Amino acid sequence: MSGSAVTDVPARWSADQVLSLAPDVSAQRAARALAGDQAWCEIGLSVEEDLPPTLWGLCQGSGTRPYQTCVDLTEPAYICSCPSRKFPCKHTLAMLLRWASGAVPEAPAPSWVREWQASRAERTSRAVARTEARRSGGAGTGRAVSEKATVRRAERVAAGLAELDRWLADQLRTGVAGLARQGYGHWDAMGARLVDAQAPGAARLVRNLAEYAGDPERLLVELGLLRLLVAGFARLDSLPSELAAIVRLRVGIPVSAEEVLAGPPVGDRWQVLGVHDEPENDLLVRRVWLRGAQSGRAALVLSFVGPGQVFVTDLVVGTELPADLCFYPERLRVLIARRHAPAAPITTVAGAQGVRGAMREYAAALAADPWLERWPMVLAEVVPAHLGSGRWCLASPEGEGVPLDPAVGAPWRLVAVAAGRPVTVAGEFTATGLRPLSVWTDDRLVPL
Amino acid sequence: MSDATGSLPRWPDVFASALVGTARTGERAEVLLDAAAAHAARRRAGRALVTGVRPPGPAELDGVPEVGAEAAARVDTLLALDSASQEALPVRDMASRLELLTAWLDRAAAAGRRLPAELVPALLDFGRRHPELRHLIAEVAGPLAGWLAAQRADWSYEAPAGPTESTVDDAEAWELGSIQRRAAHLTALRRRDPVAARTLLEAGWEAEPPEDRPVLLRALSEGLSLADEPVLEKALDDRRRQVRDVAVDLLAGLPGSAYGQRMAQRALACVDLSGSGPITVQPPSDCDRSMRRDGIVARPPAGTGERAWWLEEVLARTPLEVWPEPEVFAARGVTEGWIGTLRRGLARAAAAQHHRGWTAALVDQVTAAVLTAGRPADRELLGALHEVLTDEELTARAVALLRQGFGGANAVGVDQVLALCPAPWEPGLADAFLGMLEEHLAHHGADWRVIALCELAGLRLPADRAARAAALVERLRAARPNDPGLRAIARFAETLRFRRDMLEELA
Repeated sequence: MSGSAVTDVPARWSADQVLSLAPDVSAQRAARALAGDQAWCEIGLSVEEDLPPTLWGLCQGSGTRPYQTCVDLTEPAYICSCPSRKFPCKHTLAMLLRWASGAVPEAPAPSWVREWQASRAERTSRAVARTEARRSGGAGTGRAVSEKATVRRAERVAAGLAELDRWLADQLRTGVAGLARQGYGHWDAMGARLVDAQAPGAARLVRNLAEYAGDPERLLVELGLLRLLVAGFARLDSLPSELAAIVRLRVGIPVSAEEVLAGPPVGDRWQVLGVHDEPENDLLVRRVWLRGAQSGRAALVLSFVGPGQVFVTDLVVGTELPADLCFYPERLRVLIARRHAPAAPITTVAGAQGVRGAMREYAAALAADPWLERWPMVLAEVVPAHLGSGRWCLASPEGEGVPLDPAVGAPWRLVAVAAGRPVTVAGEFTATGLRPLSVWTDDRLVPL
Repeated sequence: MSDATGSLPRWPDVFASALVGTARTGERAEVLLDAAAAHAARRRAGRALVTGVRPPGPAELDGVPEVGAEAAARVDTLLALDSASQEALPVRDMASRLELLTAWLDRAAAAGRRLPAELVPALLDFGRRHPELRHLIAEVAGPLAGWLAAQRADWSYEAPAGPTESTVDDAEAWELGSIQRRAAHLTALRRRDPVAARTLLEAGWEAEPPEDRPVLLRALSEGLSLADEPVLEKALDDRRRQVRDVAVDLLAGLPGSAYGQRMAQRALACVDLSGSGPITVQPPSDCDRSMRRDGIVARPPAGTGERAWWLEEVLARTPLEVWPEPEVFAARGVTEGWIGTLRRGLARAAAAQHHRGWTAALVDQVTAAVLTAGRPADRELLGALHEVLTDEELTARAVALLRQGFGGANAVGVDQVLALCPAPWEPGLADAFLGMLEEHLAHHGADWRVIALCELAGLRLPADRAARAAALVERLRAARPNDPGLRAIARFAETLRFRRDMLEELA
């Protein structure tokens, strides 16, 4: 960002895209009300050579002086001189809404905008310098203390997993048929002990077992996978380092964002192929699935919000973001390390395969990480088909179908877009089937 | 963990042992667990594809271009039922939303553009609940709508083949169906063959349950003719009041009927047209059996004299053809004290018989009566008269009412007139409305009656008045920042802006 001159005028966002940035619903409402003509004394979009594309405006609020509001569209980054603690504030959102509706003329940036951009450029370069230093291995003194803590933690986790192992054997001793009668408490009790043992990943897997209690075959598979995890952790030192890292992660030993960002960055044009929000405990989890346009590599951006909050993300289905990503050890989840340019619409979908190829890719991903819960599939040339009694699949021209997750229901939007013709569909595949998340049609990606 | 190649037991055996538990099979639980672990990842990765799938044949392509992205986003909001989309709309109730949606579909159809495919299912769902949208669905969704409907029964109203009556038009429905289906069957038959339908009704009449009779008799309104008179006359003697009411309704609207002649005789006995001076009025002295048989309600409403009421009832059911032209009638004048009764009776007849000439002649007088006395019955009568007026007459009338300012216009039900005026309003009407509103809000707050008018106007004013409405809101905001009605008035301006943008996107 800092030095490179960005001269492209970024594609206008949609109003939806703007509103998805709002921290809560009341901010959305306030922003809509402010987006009219009356509040804005001055507003403009700077597209000068020496500045990143910047939207700026003076908004008359309740104070005597109008608020100075500014958005760098590349990141995006925001600033507003209003006293609001919401971020981005309603003035920022309202200004973006006006831009989204095409009501902002191009105009040179006034001096206060240039000052802000200059101070940001300086901060960015300092942050880059810090990251570089860490990557070259400059560990500070704080590190040594945490190493002792790491050892202590590993001991507690090992004890917890040993208990889990005995518990697993107990389940088989009494028989999985009887487990169907167990209430959530049965699973939750073991889960809670694993949380105490600082193995939250394993705890989550145990609590998830409650969902399969009625399906003994699935339950046995899941118990087997837990056994695999315990066994893997027991001989962590003899595992290949990549697999060891995955086992640690699945058990729930945390990886800090700094550690992830210290890993090698992977550059590509990352296509946003699907977004799915799902409640988990008291939180809402958002999964954004990406594929590299050049590498075809899959990536997952996870985010969490509490009740009543709204996700802050500018990853919009159907756009691609030139960026460097850093991968978590399981080589799927990522953090965005650095954006090279604003997101732009996708022109062709990357990584699409026939149904057999896609299933092979899934098998390969499972071979590397047997505890993988979801995998992003991109299926080329498939037609949605009803198999009867509420079951659906995506069928190849040869009549081979990938089953859809029954929880999805009838995929009418997808059926309508395909209209009985082969299309490219992106979705997330789990043990129960595929959840379609987007479909490519007429040179655009339609979210489902 | 066991090695995957050699000694690993087969999955069905592992599963069978695990089901009953190793405590019973005598195996070691740990060994069985390892076997399960070895199978687990493999089973998941080796998941079989569904085979032999035969998807439906493709939908026909119509080659009609899709609407632009902005227009698509707007109709997406109109079709979505989640709370965020409701927030994004300027209107709050479903009727208003449907009006906006209809306008969108209309405009898209006129522009020869297609709804994006992914929104067609949502539109078909709307069509399920709102039949009035159905004729537009085929236009904006093309062959895709029929193709989808063929796969889902509750969308198949869309199937263009054959009239919808065919489903209810069968003999079995008549013999065994619910009363609604039987009535629908009779109406359909009546449309095709009125005589056959009447014969069918007469054949079973005596055996029909009393509560079904009025519903079935009502079916004769389709293709009503003098040939139906005997059936209706017979129904006038029915024991059930609801049956008699239907018969009276139908007979009073049947030109040349004996019923009409009886009423005309009664009316002419009371209203003396002889000579050339003022018309003299002699109301009926009592309400006899035959009058009651013909539907005259003997008991007057509170505050009305018996004899005056009987006269009004007679006039309301008398064919207007027995009177001279309205102008001639008016020119002669009426004896003192009977003007109101005469006016009400004739106005009721004009509304019931949808008589243009008499309606035009009386609507001003009834309006004046509402203004001075404001009886609820008069207000209702005025509403009925408005429905008889032509579009041009309504628009002219609305303009005239609005010129009196908000107070006067509101008192005589300008909202009723405006609701009936064709949309979008004529430029003259639009100016009259905005002029009235600007004038009123310059001096008064926005109370609920103003807000109700604005809600309607937001949907019916020509969309190019959006700027003028926005300016009005700004002035109100500056003058009365705490007006509780401000939000609602702002929504009115927003609705207009929404419609203006919507039409521009679809141009």
